[in-house]
Amino acid sequence: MADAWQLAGAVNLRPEAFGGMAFHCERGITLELDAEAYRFLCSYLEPHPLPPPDHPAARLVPQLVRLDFLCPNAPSPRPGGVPCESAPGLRPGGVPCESAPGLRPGGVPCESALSLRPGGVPCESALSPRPGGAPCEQTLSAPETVHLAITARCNLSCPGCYVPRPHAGPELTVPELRGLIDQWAHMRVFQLAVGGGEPLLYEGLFDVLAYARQQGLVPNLTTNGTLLDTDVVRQLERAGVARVNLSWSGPDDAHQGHSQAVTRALQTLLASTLHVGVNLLVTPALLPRLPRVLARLPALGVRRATVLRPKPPAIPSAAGIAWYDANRLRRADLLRLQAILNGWQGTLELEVDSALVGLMGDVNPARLRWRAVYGCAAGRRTCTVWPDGRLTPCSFLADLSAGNVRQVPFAALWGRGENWNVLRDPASRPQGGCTGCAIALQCGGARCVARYECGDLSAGDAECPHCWEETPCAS
Amino acid sequence: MRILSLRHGFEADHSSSTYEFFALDKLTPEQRTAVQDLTGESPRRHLSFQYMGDWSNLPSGWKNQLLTLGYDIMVSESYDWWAVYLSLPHDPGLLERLAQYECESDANGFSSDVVGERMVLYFGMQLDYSAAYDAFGENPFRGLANLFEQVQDELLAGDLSAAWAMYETYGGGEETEPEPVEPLSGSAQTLLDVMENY
Repeated sequence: MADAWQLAGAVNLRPEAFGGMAFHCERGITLELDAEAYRFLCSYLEPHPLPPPDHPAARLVPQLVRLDFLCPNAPSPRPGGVPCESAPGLRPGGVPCESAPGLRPGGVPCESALSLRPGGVPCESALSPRPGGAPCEQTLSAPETVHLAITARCNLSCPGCYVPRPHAGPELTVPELRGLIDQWAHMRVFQLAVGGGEPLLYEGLFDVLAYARQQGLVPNLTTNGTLLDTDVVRQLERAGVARVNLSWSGPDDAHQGHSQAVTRALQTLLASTLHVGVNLLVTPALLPRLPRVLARLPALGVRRATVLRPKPPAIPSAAGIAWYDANRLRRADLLRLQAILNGWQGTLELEVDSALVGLMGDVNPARLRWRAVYGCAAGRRTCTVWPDGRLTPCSFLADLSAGNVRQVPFAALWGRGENWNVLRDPASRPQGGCTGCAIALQCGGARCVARYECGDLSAGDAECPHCWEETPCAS
Repeated sequence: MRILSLRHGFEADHSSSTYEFFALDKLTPEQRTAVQDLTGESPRRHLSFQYMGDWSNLPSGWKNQLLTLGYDIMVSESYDWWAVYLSLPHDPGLLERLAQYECESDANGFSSDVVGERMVLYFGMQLDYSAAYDAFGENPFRGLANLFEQVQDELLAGDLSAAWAMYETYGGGEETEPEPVEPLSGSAQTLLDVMENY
């Protein structure tokens, strides 16, 4: 047992009203901690011994060590873990362990460490739990993940795409994006999800991704795959991208005419060090052949798939509304999807998007809380920055702009959350058919679907299999 | 002082829920027929059900029915939440003594219920899966069942150590504290150690 232990350098910390969060950039693990546990973890910014067995924190230690959040100070790799000597240099936000001398071992981290919290919120209030404020009810001090639609340009024209085209305004430049990344790093945003449009059409993409990683944000990418080749994949690896998700409708997808290219891209990705997944947008047309599509994935070497639900157009247009009305999943479709996913979960690692968390209606809410399953967290944990700099709570509520990052610092826009009150106020959401649902707080309902159906962001999700209200729109 | 949640971010959440039922004695022919009718499974002394994904679960009512059809112990795991249910003959006196140790903290804790002629005791705890492996070996379900077989014997002999261990870990804050049990039985001490070092 080492004499002194320290926080792994790949861990990004930030205080929150309920206590604090810790994100392991290399393992992709996020912890939410109460105030005491957060203070305890912060104390290991400076190496010191583990607490004695009778210390209140002693029971946390095995878990924190097992998950590689704490590691021995001695520069020797731990079996099965991340080598610690590589860690300190990775500390996000540029605060290496050795330069944090103001921290008192075993005590409250010094003011300078906690002043990383944006917007000048004092440490004390950050560490004071809000009465009744469970993490799922809170708006975080910064997004966990920023979704960056880096360009609206695309070499395809998929009918269900949420990006309005033609898109107004010039795209954010690389220097502007680097400035934004600096702000996000200062706020301790954990991850950056880059999409588009087709992000590989953005000149300077690799510079942006690499800079994000350099500043401590974990970059991820969603692409249609048509522009991926060995060279591109190598550049993504070099830029430090963690995960690449490929938008795909299966190997027999004829309507986009690019299935062969996508299959080739998949093979190239799977031969790389990147985490690879596919995004399956499940429409009523795909649903009958979904089992066949899923069956092909293991044969192609794909183990992970994310199932997406069609959502109303981000900016209403006649074509977008017509597409959604023809492709939305009704309750019967969702029940069928549930059965299909159940059958395939053992063979594939399946994820569902936030609008499908309602399928978990039978799960004990405490368990969902433990696994931090947050459904619609738009404007509270996530947000979208559009190519022209507008900030919206998600990609499907594109009219709810809180302002433009070109004009106002991101932290100020996030802090104010103008036009996002309904999404942020726990008393305002979700109502209607979600009232009384045991997992309503974890699920959050699909706000964009609720608004489309009822004209009200706080309404229930009329299609949810667990919503049996006759009047989902009633408040 | 605790971790409120734990999420794996890059990897898909490959979760499942597992329910294992253990009968300490052979099932009677009537019980075997009833179990087969209920579950469609061959009625063995060890029944296991696994549900993949977040969206399915043990059918409603099966737990209580199986715990009154000859199965003594149910161990389940889902999202690192472990639940052990013990089925014992209904003993109002014992039930009353156990009531003082009932506690709940985020679905962890201890509670009791009367189901027909049985009383069903719930022991809920949060254990990281690898911690469960460390504590109970390659088959944590079997390991926990073995531990709770001892707990059952102790309870039937009037030793409430295991209930006290649950209260010690997940209870507290009540105006009247329950009666401590000292010394703890070996099985209760094991339980306490595992829960404290999850």
